[in-house]
Amino acid sequence: MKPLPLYRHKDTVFHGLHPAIAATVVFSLLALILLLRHPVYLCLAGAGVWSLVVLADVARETGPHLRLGLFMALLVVMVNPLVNHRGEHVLVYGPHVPLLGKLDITLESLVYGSVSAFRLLLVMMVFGLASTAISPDGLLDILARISSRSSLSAAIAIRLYPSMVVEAREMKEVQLVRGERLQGGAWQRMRAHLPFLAALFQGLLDRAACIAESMSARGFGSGKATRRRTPFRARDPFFGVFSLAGVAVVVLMSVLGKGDYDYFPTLSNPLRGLEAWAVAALCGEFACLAIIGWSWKRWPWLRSRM
Amino acid sequence: MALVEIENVSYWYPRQEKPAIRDINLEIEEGEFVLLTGPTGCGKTTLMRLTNGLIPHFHGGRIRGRVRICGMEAPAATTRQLSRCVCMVFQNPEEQLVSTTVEKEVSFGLENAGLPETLIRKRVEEMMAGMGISRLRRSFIPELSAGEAQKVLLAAVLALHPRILVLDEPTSQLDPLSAEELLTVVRRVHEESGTTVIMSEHRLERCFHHATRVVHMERGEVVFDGTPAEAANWWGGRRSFLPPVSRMFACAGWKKIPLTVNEARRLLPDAGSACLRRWESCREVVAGDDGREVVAAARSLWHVYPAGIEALRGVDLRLEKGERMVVMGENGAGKSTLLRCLLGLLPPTRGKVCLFGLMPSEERLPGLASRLAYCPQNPNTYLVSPTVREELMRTMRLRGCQVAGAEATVREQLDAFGLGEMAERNPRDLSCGEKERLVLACALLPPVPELVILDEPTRGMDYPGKERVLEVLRGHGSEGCTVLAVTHDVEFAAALADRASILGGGMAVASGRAEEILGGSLFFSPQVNRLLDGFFPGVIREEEGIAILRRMREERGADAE
Repeated sequence: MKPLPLYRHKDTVFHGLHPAIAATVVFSLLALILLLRHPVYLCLAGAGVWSLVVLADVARETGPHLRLGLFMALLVVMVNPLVNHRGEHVLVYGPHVPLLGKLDITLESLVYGSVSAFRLLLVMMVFGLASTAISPDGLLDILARISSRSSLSAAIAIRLYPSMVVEAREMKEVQLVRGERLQGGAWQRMRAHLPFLAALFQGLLDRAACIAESMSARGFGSGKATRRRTPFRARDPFFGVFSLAGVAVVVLMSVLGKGDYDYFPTLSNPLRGLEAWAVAALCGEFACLAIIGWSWKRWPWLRSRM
Repeated sequence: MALVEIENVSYWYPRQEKPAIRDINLEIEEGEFVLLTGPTGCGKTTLMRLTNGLIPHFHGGRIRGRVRICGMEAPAATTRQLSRCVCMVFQNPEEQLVSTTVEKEVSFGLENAGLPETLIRKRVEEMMAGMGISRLRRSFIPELSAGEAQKVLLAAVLALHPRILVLDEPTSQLDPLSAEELLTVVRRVHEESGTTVIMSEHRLERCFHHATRVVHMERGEVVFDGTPAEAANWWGGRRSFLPPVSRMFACAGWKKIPLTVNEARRLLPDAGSACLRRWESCREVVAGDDGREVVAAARSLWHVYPAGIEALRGVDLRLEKGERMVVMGENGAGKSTLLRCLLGLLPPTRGKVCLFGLMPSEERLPGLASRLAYCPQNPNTYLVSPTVREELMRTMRLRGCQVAGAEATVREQLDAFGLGEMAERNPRDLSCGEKERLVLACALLPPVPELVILDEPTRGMDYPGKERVLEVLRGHGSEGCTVLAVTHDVEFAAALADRASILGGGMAVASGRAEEILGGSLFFSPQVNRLLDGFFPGVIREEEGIAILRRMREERGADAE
């Protein structure tokens, strides 16, 4: 049975961060990926995502996200040149298709599609990192201060997800043994799976009702509850300031149009639009992360100070 | 002062015409250990929900009569007030855990109670240390074993320092060791802090001796209320509800009925040696038939999960036609993995598996539907039809049986498993024990398959239900049906098995005749064996025990009276 790609506590500096700070770090990466279009910055963002994945020791856990991201990225790479015909360097002259026009494939649309695909892959990896390395209980505690009902719904959903996956897997196996033919064409499979889906969702509703009963038995929703605060440690301000500074720089560059890159009509010079200080700052930040991760394991003194 | 006062209470669930409990009168004093017994669906859970305010606060419905808990009128008290003095642990830990980590789960109730943060931290630490779950502090809850999860829940409710602890079949999902551990904690809490315990349980051998009072329910009414000793005598005509050791003495006609193995052994000493020789000479030894067809086999079977967990490490198993074999072992020992490998649902990492002479695989499974039946641990994964009757019809269809006469067959099967009245109900609305019975009814529909594989078939099942299942399985066994059962229920295993195997750490640590494997053990032996071990080694079945006790009673005459 494959382990589900969900949060499990590990002894790493990233897991040791306050959930709000860990979320800020992830958010800063997301801002970098979504606001800057320059391929060099995106490569640096990729290095940043990977260094955090290594720092949090979740390379294996984020495998499913990586696979899904690669699949989606491949789709983007294949589809984009077919629907985006801008660009001056035509690589392949295609036929004329009604509605879509002439299906010429240009170098620029191919590069643009590849960079967009890479971006999508990075976003998937960031979500993978967030779901496997940030404690949902910690995040829900923060959410509960804002809205306890939303926090409750999210808690039950998070709690039910692994149960649902396991039950769906077991249900499929049991029905196979009973003689249900679940193989075959897509239509046949869909028809065969329909009764189980209904039973699965009914089971989930029953389970949610049981969880609600258990919560009620433990006094949930019966007055003002105490919200335990996760204490901040010395490492938290360090990561928090770094991340917020990163977000500020990225937003500023985006506003000033510094992180842009022209893909059309022709690819512009990759060195144009690059800010040396920004590249150096990003490289420095990710190098810091790598050093912290390395020293966390090897220097107990530093670890105790953080 | 009575902590729980229930006066003339009847209760109807929403949209139900028939009351779930009727005219209940019950007073429970501080410090009592009350054991609630009765057949499945008799109203035990409803009564327990009443004692902690879930009825009417959570379930709604209509209530008549008066319920006072810790001096508060239950319908008027808030759930916060009630949850501070009475806490409940339900049957299935999977359906009660709210958080994703253990520490958070333990603090959940304390946070809801609005206690100061420093007190919450202190109580969480205290409970985790006391229950021995500190090492699990940050464990991912869906990955805990059933025993660990139930311990976490117990810690979570005990952290609230309740005056009343209500437990609804808390050990039904646990292996014998985990069940013993959990009950030891409950007893310790009861003895050391004077907490009142109200517990319902079908496996009475586990808890009968802990109780100070027994309340027996039938059809929504309390029909007996007294001490365990009085209960043992009162149950003369309802022997199904006695723990095995008491039942054997009752069936053998002894006047004094012991409640524990210890008490029972004190009645035996001199009689043992006197009739041992006669017993040995008349005992029937069934020789193995070496030439029988092999239905399923595993040779040096290994299975390693992608996370690197070695679930099976070189397991050998051979199941011959007509044999009834049980596999036991603690939670996580690899029992369910073994079944899945045998069925072809998991490929062996190393070694060989053979089912009906072929290597099993997912593709081959649908073709084996008429020869093979499988009852999974979780009946919800089996039951997908809208009604009980349709579930059986679906089984017939999947096995390729003739439609003509199917209705009659289904009706007969429903009656045989005591499900006749539930034919038009949704399987999901049945109790856990009833669902298990329905799954077995589907699996054992005639023509009975050649191989029946059962994963925890008696979960949540009462004694009469178990007896019915045993009767059916034994009957089919004599017709050549092979049975492989994975179970934690030692008494059921002993009553069913010809052969047994104990798994530990993914290895078959002991395999052989059931008498050898299930005899002479502290936790994996039935009560009859623990009673007669030393006098009559290898006796594991109640019928044999009753025969011996009857003979001893005849020999001792008036002494036994």
